[in-house]
Amino acid sequence: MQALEILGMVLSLDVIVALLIGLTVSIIMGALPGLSATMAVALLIPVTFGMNPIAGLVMLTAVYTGAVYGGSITAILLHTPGTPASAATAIDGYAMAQKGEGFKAIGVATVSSVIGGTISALALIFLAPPLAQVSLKFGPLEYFFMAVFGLTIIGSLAGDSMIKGLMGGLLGLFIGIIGLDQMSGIPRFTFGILALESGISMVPAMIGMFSLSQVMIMTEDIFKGKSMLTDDTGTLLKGRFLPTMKEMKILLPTIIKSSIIGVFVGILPGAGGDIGSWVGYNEAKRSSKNPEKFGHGAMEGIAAAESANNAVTGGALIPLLTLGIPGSAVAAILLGGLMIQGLSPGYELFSKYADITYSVMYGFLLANVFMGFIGYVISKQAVKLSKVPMTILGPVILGLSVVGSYAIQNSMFDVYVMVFFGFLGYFMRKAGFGTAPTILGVILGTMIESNYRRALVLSKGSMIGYFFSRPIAVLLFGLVIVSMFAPVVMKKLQSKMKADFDELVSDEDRDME
Amino acid sequence: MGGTYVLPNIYIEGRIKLNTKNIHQDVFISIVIFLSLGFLFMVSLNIKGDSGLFPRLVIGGLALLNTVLLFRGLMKTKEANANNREVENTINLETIKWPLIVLAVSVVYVAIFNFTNFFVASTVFLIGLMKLYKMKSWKTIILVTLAFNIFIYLGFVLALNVPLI
Repeated sequence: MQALEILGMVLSLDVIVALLIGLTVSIIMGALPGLSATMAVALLIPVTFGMNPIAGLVMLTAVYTGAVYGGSITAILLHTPGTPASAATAIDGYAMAQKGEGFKAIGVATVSSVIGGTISALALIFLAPPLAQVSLKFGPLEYFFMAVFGLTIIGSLAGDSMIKGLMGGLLGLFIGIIGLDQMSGIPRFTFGILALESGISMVPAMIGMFSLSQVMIMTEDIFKGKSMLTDDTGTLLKGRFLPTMKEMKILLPTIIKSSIIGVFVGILPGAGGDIGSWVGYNEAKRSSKNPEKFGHGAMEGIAAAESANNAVTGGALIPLLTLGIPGSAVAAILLGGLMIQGLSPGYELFSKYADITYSVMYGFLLANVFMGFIGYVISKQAVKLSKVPMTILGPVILGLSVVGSYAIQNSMFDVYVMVFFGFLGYFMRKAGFGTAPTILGVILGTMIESNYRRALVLSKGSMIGYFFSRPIAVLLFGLVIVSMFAPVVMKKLQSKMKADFDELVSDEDRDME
Repeated sequence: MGGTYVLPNIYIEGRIKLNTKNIHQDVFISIVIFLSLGFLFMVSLNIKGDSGLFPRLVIGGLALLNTVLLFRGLMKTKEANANNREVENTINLETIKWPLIVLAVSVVYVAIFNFTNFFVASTVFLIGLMKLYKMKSWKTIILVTLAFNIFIYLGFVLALNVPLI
């Protein structure tokens, strides 16, 4: 595939328009507290269905990176992170805003996000193709373990209760079972409903679980008398946007180091933008010459957190495109977008569909660059939008959920599916089950069952012997075991970092007194 | 209590009564899940051949985890009652009443969409829901409804050819 040919495809009008729309919408959605990157991608998947695959997928990857960046705007100006990935940004960002340097803080966040995202896009372009070669050596048993490996990220998506997270994941597996058995053609749990024979439509289910349930939660707040997403009046945006050259020289090493950390964290299953930003932030503080400034408006703090969380996006796409393992909840939904276009992760993406895949990767690179310009233009407006009352946002999101579910197949049944999953998602969230593990279970369920059954056939009655004759399967099994314990280590690491930070701040407060 | 589980109770007018109001929600959730799993297991028995094996494995796994959930729910209930503390349940009628009404409104929205078209249904729904949310400004309500319909018409009907009319 010639670079010029790819460039031609990426720079075509429909791709550029899709990219710009995706970035604009996602930055605004990311800036609105409560509306996550996950929801942004889920709501926009139906829009991409009618587009050509390159434009559609570039739009979705742009939405992913744009929403993560957008979260920093309200984190800085209103001390309300638009997405969980921006929580670390809020610490120094808001401190700068209080000093009247809010616009500059956004500027630092923008530059850092652009560099972090660009480095992660380059990592994706250079690391994904060789990794895809490995997938050629995969048989059903390897794919089975790979899917199980993907499921282990549930540990980090589970929220407070691992048991509830695992139950959510198993519920997802069960939902994936509904429909005709792929191997025998026997209907399972369809209850005579013809529309269920092709299985539960994934995207309407996701829209229901993430969007309708969110509106129902918003409704609780509205009737408690809280009609705004944030009550803060915000800080005026004034002054310089971009950091000076001198400041950039100081920030650049931090940005590059945090970006590399972010890419690495993104590749790990389950470690999303929130963990990436905390790890990046803590490392920057640890290695800084002025760690005492962290928490009091240090530009390095913003740069570290923002470059790391945007670097996670490209990192999470590496295992997704090459092995089909979604590294985070957003990546799981992106997998849905990929499948809607008739594409499956693995070697084929880099051979048969190389034109699409490389164009999407270069499009993602371009999206990260454009994000800076669009961020500059709309950051002021995005803050104003966060003041739109929930009484308007709720009905609009619901309307978009209905049209989005319907548009995929022009099917009313999909709208019913969306409403049902909204209802289910609301109660799951209220009961602490979380919805992300379920979505992951739905995606990986079919992969697990069909590959396990194929492996059983291939093993000819001796599964253990077959297992030990396949070294990659043994390696993947080992990874599954490691990955099961990774979330516990990650959570401890994250809470230790937060505790270290709190200790530092309280020590400084005491010193000041 | 000697290590045995005792159902939470309160003393009212000389009689011991079961305090059903102070039970952790996980206990109720677990019971509902067990009933659903029982039903699904019965259905799975009618699935022929190997096709029923994986569903039964998943149902079994869910049942196992649900047993842990029930046990934990009972422990939380016991702990709260032992400390004379009220169980904090996030799911209660007071909290879920309005979200369920909104869900019902959404069902009506879908029904109207089914029998008329998307734009008629959306107009009725947006106005209805914003009024339900106690929005006072008719100007805002009409502007939002108009803007939404125009956006959907341009984006979905004209650009993506979705048959919404």
